[in-house]
Amino acid sequence: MIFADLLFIFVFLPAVLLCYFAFKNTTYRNIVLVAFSMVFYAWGEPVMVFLMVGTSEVNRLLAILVEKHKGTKKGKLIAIVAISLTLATLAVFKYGGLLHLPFKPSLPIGISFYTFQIIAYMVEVYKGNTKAQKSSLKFLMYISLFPQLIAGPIVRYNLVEQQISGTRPTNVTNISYGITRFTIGLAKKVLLANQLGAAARTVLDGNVVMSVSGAWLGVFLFALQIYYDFSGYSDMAIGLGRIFGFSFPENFNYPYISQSISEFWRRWHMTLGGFFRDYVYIPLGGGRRMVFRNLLITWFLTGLWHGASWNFALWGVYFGVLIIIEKAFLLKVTEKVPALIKIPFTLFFVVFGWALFYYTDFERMWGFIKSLLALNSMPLTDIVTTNLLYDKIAVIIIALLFCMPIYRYIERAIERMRALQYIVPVVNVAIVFLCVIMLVGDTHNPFLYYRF
Amino acid sequence: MKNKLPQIINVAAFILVISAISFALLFMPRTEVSLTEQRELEKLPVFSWELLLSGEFTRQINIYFSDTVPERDRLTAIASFINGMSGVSIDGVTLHNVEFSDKADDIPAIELEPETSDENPPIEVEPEVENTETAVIETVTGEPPEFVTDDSSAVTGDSPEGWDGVIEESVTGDSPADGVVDIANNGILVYQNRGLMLYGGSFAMGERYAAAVNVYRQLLDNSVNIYTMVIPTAVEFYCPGNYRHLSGDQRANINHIHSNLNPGVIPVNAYSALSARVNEDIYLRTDHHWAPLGAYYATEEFANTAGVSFTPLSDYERVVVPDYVGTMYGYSGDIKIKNNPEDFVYFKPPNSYTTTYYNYDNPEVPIPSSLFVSQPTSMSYSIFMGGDAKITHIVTDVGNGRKLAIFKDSYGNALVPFMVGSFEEIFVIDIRYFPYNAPAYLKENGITDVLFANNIFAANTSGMIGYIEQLTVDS
Repeated sequence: MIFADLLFIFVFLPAVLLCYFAFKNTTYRNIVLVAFSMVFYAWGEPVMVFLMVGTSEVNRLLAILVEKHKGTKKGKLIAIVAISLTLATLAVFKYGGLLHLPFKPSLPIGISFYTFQIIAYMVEVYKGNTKAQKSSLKFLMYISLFPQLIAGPIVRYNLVEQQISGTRPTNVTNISYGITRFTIGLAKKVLLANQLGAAARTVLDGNVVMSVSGAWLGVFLFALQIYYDFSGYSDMAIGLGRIFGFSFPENFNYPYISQSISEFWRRWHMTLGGFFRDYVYIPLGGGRRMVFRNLLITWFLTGLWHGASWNFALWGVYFGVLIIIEKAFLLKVTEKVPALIKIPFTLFFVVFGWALFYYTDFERMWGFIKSLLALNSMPLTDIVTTNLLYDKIAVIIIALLFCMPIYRYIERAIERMRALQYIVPVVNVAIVFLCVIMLVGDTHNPFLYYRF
Repeated sequence: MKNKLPQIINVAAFILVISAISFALLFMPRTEVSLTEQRELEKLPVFSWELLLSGEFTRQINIYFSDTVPERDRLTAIASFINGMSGVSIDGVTLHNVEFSDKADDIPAIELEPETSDENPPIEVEPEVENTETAVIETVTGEPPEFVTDDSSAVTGDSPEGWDGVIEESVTGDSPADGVVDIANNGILVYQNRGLMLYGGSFAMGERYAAAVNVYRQLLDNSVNIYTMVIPTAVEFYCPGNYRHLSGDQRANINHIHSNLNPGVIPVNAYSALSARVNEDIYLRTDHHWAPLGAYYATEEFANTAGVSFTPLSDYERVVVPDYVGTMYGYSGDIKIKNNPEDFVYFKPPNSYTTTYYNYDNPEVPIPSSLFVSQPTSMSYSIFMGGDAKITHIVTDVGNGRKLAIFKDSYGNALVPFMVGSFEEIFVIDIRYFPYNAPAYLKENGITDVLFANNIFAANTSGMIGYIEQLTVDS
């Protein structure tokens, strides 16, 4: 099931809210959340739901053993076995095709997210930073919690430990914030990402030999689409979490205003970047020794995490190389260059990178890159590009505006001016109505991060 | 408490709105047919464990739920209106699902000047400037003619990349699933409130179409006349010049088909008949079909070719259906088309005739009926024989001993009323649904004339040609 779907918003969500708030007892509420999370997951993965539950339970038990043997070789061995098992699950189910395994299971939704949460949990239990969760129900709730189950954010256990083990605050402030955040995410997905995506597809999915401006418009539309798609999903996840009293970490922080590639990755999919930093880059040696090797490995894996296709690895290495260049000299050299120059410079490389990300077929990717770089003997522009640009100009301008932190100013203004606070419900209701209209007739618009 | 008032209102408003919409979605009557999209909406899946475990069951429930929303047509009209506000159109042109590609490849077109024989003279129309330019470029490069285009769909019958929609050739709701094919289109262009489906066929497909028709020359007695009429579509005549390169050259493709016909198969030059009258309402603006008036001129050309008498238009009863909005609104979602309806004008023949239907699900049972079957306004094109999924047998008072069988797609339907004054008997057969072996059926019924009447998209679509090829196979 996905969030931007009529069945989810108007059947599943009311049902889960009704059942959840019907109880005051936290255990009952946990049961409600787990039960609905199972339905939510099984709706899309009627078989693989058992893999998720099994992985969760096995790791809960192994973590208890790791904790029991903390500081001993046995404890370390169990932790290694547990992490290897989880990685093996990911390897088989996600990279089976890429690794030419004899069987090719279909990719279970959300496996990239929940396996990473389990790995992080296991490491923290091993290190003694986190207490092992004894309750099957609570651990399964942590792993399967439907708001963040299938597309993140990657929520570390210690961040929500209190909310899982103890009670969660139910108050109107949280619920109201959650509703507004969910609605914003819905608008990002339905009103912007879907429109931008449809336009991007008309450019990117046809013949890759096209005019230079056509190619740039296409990849630029995709850059906007993927941002609104993914950050919209994160907003909805954070909003839903908050309604139930969970505080999930932020995942995006206006990535397209970054002044360097390194900064971009501190603002884009922050929970993933944090995971790779803490559990791959730093254990490899981080910035202390063989830093370039560590960066390349980390970015190769970060890229590959995005999909079982080599183009994602290439995309990761591309960023790895750019970050190495920045670390080597570029950041120092450009220290005093104004932001107005650094932002478009960074954006150029980020947007170009989306071309590597989009095309899983290397031949098509190369053809498209040649279009981007004017190597295809095609004209600079053409009528279809101009037509498309004008046809979507309002959506593009709105999308561009909200790539900048203007929402922060709106938020502050709302905080300061009480009268504005009464406008929020009106805007939320309007967004819901608009989204319903736009969703009607749309068959599914699966989230891009679904395939990861 | 007072400090929390805006938040309380926010929560209350959300609960109220979600509850109200939930109630509407769950308890209001669901839409079963979309008149604007001219299709039956999704049905609830039938439960089976296999379906459930594959994930298909729940997926289909989602599709059913969003597809059959109460008041769907009203809501989609608002969505179209909102989409229309997402930008501005330049040159008065809006493109829908038009892919960025080097469509020059799809215009093997004019420069090739396919070899022609005396029996099958090429269509004589002044070449358009744009295409001539293409021709020059291609000639200079000296590259061999490309018969297979980039559009793999034209060869495989799969839909072009990025084109999610499946466009039904039939406008009726009664077509079976196997009557639905992806067609070789390049998206839709809307200009001057006219929806134009951009053409993406290829010479290779045209050759296959010709070969499929040629087979009949070997299978039928020499006394039987075989004709083929490949009907151009509106985009060929109404596409603004600077967008013309987005659509393949239909004239060149028709010429190429003609040049590949067996000399015993007679081409009917509908293209010339239509191109001479582009200032008249020969095509529907809001539908992917031609207008009955266009069919009239094409039939006149056919009657001349076949040497049969022909009733002038003035003798027909003219019927006008006002406020017609056809398929192009549903296909493009362009609100301009919905907001600019047109008159659907059709013509009833003056002579006497009887009409009998044989439905394909029960083809042995004759059903006495009428040539014209009334329809909701938006489905007016289905007035002819009520759509496609039947064999129609018409017996007229002409008494010239000529018996015609028409193998057609939905374009052919509009021809039939104008044939009634020219043949003694007419069998109208849709290539997608016919359950018999065609040559045997034609012999059995003493057919003297066979006409393959298909639009250029069908004649370039693998699935549709496949249907013609299948007609010679015993079912």
